[in-house]
Amino acid sequence: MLRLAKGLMLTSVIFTGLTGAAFAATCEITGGKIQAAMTTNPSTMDPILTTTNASRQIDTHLFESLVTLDENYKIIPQLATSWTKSDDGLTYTFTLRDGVKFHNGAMMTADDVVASVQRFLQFSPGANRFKKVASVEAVDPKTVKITVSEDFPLLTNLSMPSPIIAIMPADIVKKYGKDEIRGADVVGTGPYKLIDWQPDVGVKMQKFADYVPEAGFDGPTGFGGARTACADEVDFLPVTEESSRVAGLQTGDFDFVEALPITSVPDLQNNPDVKVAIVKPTWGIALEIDHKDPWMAKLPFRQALLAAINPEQVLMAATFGQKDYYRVQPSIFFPEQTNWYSDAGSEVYNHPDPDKVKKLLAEAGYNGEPITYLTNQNYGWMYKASQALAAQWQAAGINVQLSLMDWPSQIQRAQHQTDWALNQTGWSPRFDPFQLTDSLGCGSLGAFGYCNDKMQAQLDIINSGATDEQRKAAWQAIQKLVWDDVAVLRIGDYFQPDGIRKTLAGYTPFYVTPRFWNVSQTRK
Amino acid sequence: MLTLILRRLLLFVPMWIGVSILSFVIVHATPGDPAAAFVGMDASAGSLEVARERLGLDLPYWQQLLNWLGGTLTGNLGDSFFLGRSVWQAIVERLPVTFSLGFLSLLIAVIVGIPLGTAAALAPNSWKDTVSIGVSLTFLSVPEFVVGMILIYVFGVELRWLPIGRYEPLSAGFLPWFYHLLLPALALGLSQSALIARMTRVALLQVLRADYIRTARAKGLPERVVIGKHAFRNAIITIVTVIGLSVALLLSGAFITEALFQLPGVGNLGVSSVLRRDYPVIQGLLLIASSFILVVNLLVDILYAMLNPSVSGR
Repeated sequence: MLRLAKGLMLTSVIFTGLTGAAFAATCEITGGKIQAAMTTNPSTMDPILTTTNASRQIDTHLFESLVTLDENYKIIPQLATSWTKSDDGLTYTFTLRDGVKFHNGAMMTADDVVASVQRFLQFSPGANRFKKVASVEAVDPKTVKITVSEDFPLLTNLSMPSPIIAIMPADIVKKYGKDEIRGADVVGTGPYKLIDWQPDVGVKMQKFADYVPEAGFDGPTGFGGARTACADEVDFLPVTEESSRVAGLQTGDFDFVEALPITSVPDLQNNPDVKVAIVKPTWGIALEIDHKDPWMAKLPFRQALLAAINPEQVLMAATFGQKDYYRVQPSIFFPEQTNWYSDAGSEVYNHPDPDKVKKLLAEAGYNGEPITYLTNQNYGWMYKASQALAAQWQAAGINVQLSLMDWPSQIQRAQHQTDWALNQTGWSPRFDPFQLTDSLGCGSLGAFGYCNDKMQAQLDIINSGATDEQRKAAWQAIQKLVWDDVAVLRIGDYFQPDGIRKTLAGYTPFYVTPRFWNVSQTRK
Repeated sequence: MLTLILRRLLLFVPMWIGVSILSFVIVHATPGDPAAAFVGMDASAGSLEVARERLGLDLPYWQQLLNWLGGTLTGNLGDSFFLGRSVWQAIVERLPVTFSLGFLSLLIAVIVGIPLGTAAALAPNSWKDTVSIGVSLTFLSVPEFVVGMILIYVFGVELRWLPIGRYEPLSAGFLPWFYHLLLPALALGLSQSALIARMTRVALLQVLRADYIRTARAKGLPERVVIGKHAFRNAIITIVTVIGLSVALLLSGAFITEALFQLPGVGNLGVSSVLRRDYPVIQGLLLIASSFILVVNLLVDILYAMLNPSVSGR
């Protein structure tokens, strides 16, 4: 017996919930060109080979997946219209949308889906999430069956936008295999198609004339819904110099500018042609801890570090004291992510207490030994946060030494060396708790030696086929353990300002990913 | 003259091998992992291995070095990790941008620098001299990117006279090309003009004190001929050396200026490649930049020989 799965129920929720969407359902004007100035250059146009922001920002315009996420981070259908899950939780059957065309004119069939998903499972950096997938098969041209060896949150995993499980034509996918798909073979089903990519110069995308917006929605939502390409062309231009991005926004060379320096915001707010958008959430400021370090291995020492932190001061340092750009907040998931937000265990957060620090340090037997703290200047807010934190710890009698590196070197040292104790980082918003397995699970590279049986047991529930309620309860327990055990240090939220010319109509910020579908270029 | 050129050309071979090895060692000694930069922060350890294998980073160091050395000796610099093309192609595509910028900046530097230096030298300790020294000191001490930002602010954002960057190829027409390059070329050229002005002034002053100049003046030659024919001809050796040096400095200045003005030139390629650890491109650029400087030096030597016949015998 098959029962109707979440998917169909969810779609009905979407239909009713969509009326309040901030997005324009139709275009104010069609035609024109949108120029977006981005901070980095994408490393590849092959959507499955990378997890970087720069690639996701482009790929959401070019590619689509079986399922995706809506404005509230809930799963919605995209290239699949519906799906069923067998009672034993081991077989998913997806019905594909009719009449979907690839950018090269071919019609999408189940074979394309099977080939694309199989290539992803073999070669993508995101493949390890799908270890429990046993097989992907085409039942008929409109039906795909995915079998799993053990129940796990398959749909959630399929909906991740980074790396997106892009559906591409089977012949192209088979031709390239593990090699990087390039040039004219970068073909998807999205509202825009790739015209040209010149590294360090820009990505040119053109409206895909044969795109059929999904009929089940009355407007766009999140990464999906009924999307319409209003502008004829969208260009993503890497402009690494922030002062050049600001100048280009002022002159109108750019319609959209990613990551404005906060210091330029007051000036831009007085500019009648420009709007400053605050992207919420953008980054969670966090510190990873090397639990193999002799001091960090001691719980009282980690608790002492926590008791010495005044988060608001740190966040003010990171944002030049601009209140709109930070939030004192303890949860790993952001308050906007109502599904997973939790303040469990946060009584210890934001309670600086010098006496407690002294007591805990004595308990740990600490006598001013140096504690190495890795940071970088590539992200100005990380660097300023580290300076403030280091100052707070030094004032509390903890001999923290900042070690300044560039970002790639910092990542490499953190992952491959053990000569450090604290690692400054920023966490992009996670979509689902399973993504935290990499940071909290025993033996994970990104957990840096952290292993707690209680934590692992809850993570196992998160990664199982448990119900939403069970997974929610497990996540609450994990969030509480993160504080009780000081597994990582969550400091607070940093919001990024983006700049938009007012002539760009219908733009709404979402998840560090500018969306230029249903956005009109009204400038003549 | 021919032996001079041949001797210099022979020097190329050991230099090429030396720089190849050196650039490989420097690049690989830098911490950071290109595979990690490629797949992104959120990638798993297993996928990093796959990426390393695809990029050829799983081979032992000595084998990577031998592959690279073997390649360079046959003119093959390998493929970029990130650009989907060979290193040669990536660099050649960007040369027109850097050459355009270099040419215009050099032109500006010479057009501004030599008259400024000459004016100062002809009237030492006058107001002209003070202004000339003042202007050149300012441009010498303010870094190119600051000059660039000021130019962007004044001419791009406030006055809106000039575009603040991006490159239009010469094939799109001379005016668009010139228009888009003017601000970056000014940023780069003005600081070089300062150097040229100062050297011109010093060189001319020295020559003007010489006996033969006094003789030339004594025999009643017009000042135009004294300066133009007698003095300048002898001062020009120093000035040409400085212009040659300027070319090398322009190349390093292009790294920052190109990034500031979003010009997709070789300098910009260098900066981006270092940041994302694109080993083959960094190595290729180091190799080509060193060869370029050697060629420029050779050209300067040949120019010397042509301007001053006594050099060619040395």
